[in-house]
Amino acid sequence: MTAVTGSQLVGDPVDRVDGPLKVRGAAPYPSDVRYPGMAYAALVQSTIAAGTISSIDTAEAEAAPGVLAVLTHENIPDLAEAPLTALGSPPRFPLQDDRIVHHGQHVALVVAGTSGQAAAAARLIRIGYQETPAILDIADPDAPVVTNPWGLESERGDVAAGLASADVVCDETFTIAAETNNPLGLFATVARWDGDRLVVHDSTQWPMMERRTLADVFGIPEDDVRVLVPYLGGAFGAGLRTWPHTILTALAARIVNRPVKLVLTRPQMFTSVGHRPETVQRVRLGATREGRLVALDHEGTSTIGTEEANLEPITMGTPSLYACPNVATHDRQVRLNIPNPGPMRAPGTAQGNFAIESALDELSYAVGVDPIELRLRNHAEVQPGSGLPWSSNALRECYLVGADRFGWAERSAEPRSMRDGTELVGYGMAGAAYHWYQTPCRVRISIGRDGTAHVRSAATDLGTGTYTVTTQLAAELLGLDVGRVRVEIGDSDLPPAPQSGGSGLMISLGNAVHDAAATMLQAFIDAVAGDEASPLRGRRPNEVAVHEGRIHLVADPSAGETYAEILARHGLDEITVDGEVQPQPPAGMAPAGAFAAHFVEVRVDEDLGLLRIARVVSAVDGGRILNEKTARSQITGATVMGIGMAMLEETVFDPSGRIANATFGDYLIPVNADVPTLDAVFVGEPDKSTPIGIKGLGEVGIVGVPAAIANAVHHATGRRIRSLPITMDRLL
Amino acid sequence: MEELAADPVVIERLPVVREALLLSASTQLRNMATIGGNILQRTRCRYFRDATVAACNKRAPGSGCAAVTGPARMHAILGADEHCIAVHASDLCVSLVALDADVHIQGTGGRRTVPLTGFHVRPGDRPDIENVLGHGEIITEVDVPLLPVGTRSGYLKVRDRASYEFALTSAAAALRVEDGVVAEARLALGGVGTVPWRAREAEEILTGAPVDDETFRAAAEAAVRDPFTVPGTEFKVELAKRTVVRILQTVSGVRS
Ligand SMILES: Cc1cc2nc3c(=O)[nH]c(=O)nc-3n(C[C@H](O)[C@H](O)[C@H](O)COP(=O)(O)OP(=O)(O)OC[C@H]3O[C@@H](n4cnc5c(N)ncnc54)[C@H](O)[C@@H]3O)c2cc1C
Repeated sequence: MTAVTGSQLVGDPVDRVDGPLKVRGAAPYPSDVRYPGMAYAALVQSTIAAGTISSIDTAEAEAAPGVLAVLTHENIPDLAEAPLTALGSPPRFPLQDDRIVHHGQHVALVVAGTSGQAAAAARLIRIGYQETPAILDIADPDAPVVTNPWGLESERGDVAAGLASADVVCDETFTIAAETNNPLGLFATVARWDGDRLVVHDSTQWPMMERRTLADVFGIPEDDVRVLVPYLGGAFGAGLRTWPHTILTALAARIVNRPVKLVLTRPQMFTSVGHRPETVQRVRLGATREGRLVALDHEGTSTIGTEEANLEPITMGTPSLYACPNVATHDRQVRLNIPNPGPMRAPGTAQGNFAIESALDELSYAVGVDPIELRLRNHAEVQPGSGLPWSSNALRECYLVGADRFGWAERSAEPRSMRDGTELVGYGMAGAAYHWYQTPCRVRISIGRDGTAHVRSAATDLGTGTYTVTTQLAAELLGLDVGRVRVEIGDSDLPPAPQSGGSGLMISLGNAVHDAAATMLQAFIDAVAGDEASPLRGRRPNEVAVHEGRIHLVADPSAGETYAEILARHGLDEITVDGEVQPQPPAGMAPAGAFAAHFVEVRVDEDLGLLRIARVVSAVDGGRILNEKTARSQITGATVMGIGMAMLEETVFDPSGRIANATFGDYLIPVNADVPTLDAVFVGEPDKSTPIGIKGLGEVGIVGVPAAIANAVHHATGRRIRSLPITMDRLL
Repeated sequence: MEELAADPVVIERLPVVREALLLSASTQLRNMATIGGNILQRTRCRYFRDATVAACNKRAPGSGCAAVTGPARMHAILGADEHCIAVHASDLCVSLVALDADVHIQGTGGRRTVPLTGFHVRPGDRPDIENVLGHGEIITEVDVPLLPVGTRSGYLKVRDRASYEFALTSAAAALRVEDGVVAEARLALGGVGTVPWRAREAEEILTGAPVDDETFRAAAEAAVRDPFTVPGTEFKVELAKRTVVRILQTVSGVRS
């Protein structure tokens, strides 16, 4: 494949192609799906955190109006294990036995004629528990600890020697509260059996994984499972697993022999679809007097359920961050009686960055070097360790362009030295890097006799703009107007695509579209190979170009004909081709993900401990930007989430293991009044590791925001807060 | 609520009421919410509201209080004890108790009027009893006496989130100042009381005292006397005092 030249490849801030549908309320989200004769399910969840169910009395519920079935561990059939995925072993399926491992564990599912009947009957189930002591504290010495859970621990050089040789050592511990993803769209499942075929509408970011999981669990061929999710009301990682409630709903549909719908309640969203685990990190930095890093030791500990897996790679990116000869990473997981965590936007990386970038800020004060200058001195010009050149890296530009837009030069370094009236003013910054991630992806494209293209793949758009960007990209690569391209995704019957996760979908799907477009052009040229009437006869792809649906000779644009003309003359309804990408790290270079630098101004009312964000400037290297508007939305949306992580968000467990704030009234996410003007600017060049040169942008926007805020708080107040969220009691 | 906040008399004579209203909930909620409903709103305590929590003296008298031993942040430190630390979360009521509003009640047996300061009942050992409203009684009217001309008033609400959030602490204050001396003072606290918290002792300290930070701090100390705290609410003692000082500074013009 040849790289596409930089002059094209869109960038236009096209409005969302699915915007009108969403604004009119016509986009079918999973919770909107209805079938004739559909029944409704409601979950019953445990009210203890550890123990066993000693009795479960469903008689009253079964006799309640409209009830069709009550599923408990006593009456459901044995189901097969769900398969492993890239994220590890599947979530524990709770109704297999009488054991309770966390508060809010599903213990029964009630199916009834209406959702009201199901919910009412769910309250009539009487459960007796045999309670055992629950382990709920990350510091509990009785909690089982898993070391090096993913085999990702690493060491380069000799950290102990490096620390011993350092002029300055910073050794600090950082903690971050558990958080909950909280997409606005409540997760919903609608399951329908047609004989032995299963159709599931579900809130998932990964239809292909879900299809395989359901096929394995119900013992049917993968082709007999169809997963549909054309629209999704957000997920932020919560849709990367097939959760037990989805399997239960499919099981219920089979048992009652009707379509069944389950919509989780907001409190159930806190216990049923994962959360960002609580973390404790220790960072040891050793540096010379000039601030050059000589050693970096990073230990990350996160919480996890008692029996499950979760990939929370807090320290994974650390070795590649800075040019430092001696780096070691250590990972631990502590098993608690909590709902199992799961991915939440930039899992691991968001937390790891907070510790490293806060520690660097401390180092900058210890050695008296400006935070940006400190980072420039330690900039990883090539990939540390391998010494390979990056496929792209504009982190340096991120620092400089961001600093300039922000007005960093006006900052006086001394903490507490800037004021506005009675408020303390603080400027803080942090760098960010996200790792490269790409997975196999396929796409199918047809061009029909009406001259329009139909692009399809089992990818998803969780609100990120997949529809829009794929439309634009296909339009450009096929030489069509945006309005003549239709993208169909969110259906596991379409060619397999990876999850929208790990910031890896667009790079995978985009390059698959690129591959398909090249094949399409070849297919049209092949079609006219022996066609006397075609001015394109016998030409090679590099001799032609396509503009507004017309293929013409590069050398003579007047010689050409349209897709439609070719199809009509040859009696073809359409030409269909497949595109594919099999990711390989590029030869001779280190594949780079996105980079960013965030700059934050805070205001602190010291008497009241009130912290407000005054402005944020983010400079981001996302490689080639396909659509300024959707790209900016990813950055600003993630920044808002970073503000939440820094100031507000905290999933609180009470001594019974119950989440004490599992509502939107009690779990605070930022509202408009918390969010100032957010300025995002894109820098850098197309990435050289793939033909289309893009890098994933979905997660880098949150990475670095909490550290930049905490660093600004230190600058404003002189207080170093190493614990998130930074609530007012910590600033009083 | 939104209508009352837009009332010309309220705008001109009762800024403290207007500010308390406009800092409550959201515009959409205020468009729907009534004054009677606001006065009678139930506590936000998550242990009270979540029926899966067994120990709640307010919901099930005698069952205990899970909030006292659990994480608690949005909870009361005044008028609270080990039986119940649920906050009365109304902002409006804080301003109205400061103004000596009266509540008119209609029951099957006739009408009666009670001062709002006596309407809500501290939990004591019966947290399930929240007010003096009897069975079959409704609120028909709330009388708010106007402040004397020349009185300045205001409401300060302190919270983690900048909007759309209940108070961690709040304070309603009205001061009439003559020649640098407080001639008349009204003060009430929110976010910290099991009932809207009138701070009479603080008012006594303020009255006749010079307008300065020393006076305000003394008033604040008196306003937050004998708090009952749990680990999650300890910080509210100092925060409430600083909230009082700040609103007094603002209303007196010491700080703009
Ligand atoms: C998300 C959210 C945020 C909020 N934030 C705030 C805030 O920041 N500050 C604040 O002060 N409030 C806040 N509120 C509370 C809100 O102000 C109250 O819910 C509202 O005032 C209730 O008014 P209503 O007319 O809807 O009453 P309802 O909810 O209809 O009634 C409440 C109760 O009072 C009874 N009742 C109502 N009127 C009378 C009457 N005349 N006589 C006798 N009984 C009566 C009802 O029977 C019911 O038991 C918030 C509420 C929500 C949901």
